[in-house]
Amino acid sequence: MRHDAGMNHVRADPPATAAGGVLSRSAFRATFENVRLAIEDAMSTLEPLNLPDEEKSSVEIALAEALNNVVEHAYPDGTPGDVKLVLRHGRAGLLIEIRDNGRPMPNGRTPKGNHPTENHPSDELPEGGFGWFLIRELARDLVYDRENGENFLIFRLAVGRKNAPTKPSLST
Amino acid sequence: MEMTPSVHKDFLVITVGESRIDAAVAMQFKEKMKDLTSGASGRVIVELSAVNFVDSSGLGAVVGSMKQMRRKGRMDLVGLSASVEKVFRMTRMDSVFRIFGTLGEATQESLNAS
Repeated sequence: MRHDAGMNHVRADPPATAAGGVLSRSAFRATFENVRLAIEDAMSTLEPLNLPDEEKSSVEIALAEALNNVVEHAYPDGTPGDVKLVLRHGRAGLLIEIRDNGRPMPNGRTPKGNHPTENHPSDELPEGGFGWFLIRELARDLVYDRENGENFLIFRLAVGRKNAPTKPSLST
Repeated sequence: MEMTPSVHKDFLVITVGESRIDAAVAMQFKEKMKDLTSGASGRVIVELSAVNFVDSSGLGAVVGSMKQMRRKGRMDLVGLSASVEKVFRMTRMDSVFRIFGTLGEATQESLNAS
């Protein structure tokens, strides 16, 4: 059963621009179940791009971590609130924009995303703290801002790049 | 949370029937693992081939389950999909588990080790 209470979804035809044409806009109640549905929607929106599996998994992981962070930290302990997600695709790849009206990032900054064993060397087997580590590994050009009580996070994933220059191989 | 135990002579296999171990089900996964392994000692093999996505919460639940087991035995993993394997590799958690391609490979290892 789909519980898409509070979900709305608009899909647009993608104009191909460098900045990135909008692929989809969605808004939903911040719950882990809705994050799951939003990821499912996002992945089906991306189908026409025919991304290789490796790139698809990068998108899915980065989306899951960024959206779960909103549910867990911006709206902690089930605080009700909404999340807005915009996907854009352009020559530089996929741009992911996430907005919410929850709590700000600690100290107004996104966490550094060290591997959790670097933050807590005594804990040889960490059970958490991997979220920002994964986002930092996968995302480029990450920007966080807060204005009028709204968190704004945008980052780029270098996937589905059009006319991406192939790296010249360093021949020996 | 669909997780099916099957008891063998030298090990317990827990087959996870869910397609995702994510933030929505991570707590349930860990609780169910605790229940299923409460009487187990020795080796537990978790069969993950039905799972096509794990996020950091799911990863934490798998690591946590392994830590619960550590005093009385060990927990190995079988059948990681490419995406699941990627999360384990990126977070370097692939080095703290013994990971096998198939149940056959994992149990072969059990015979050799005895």
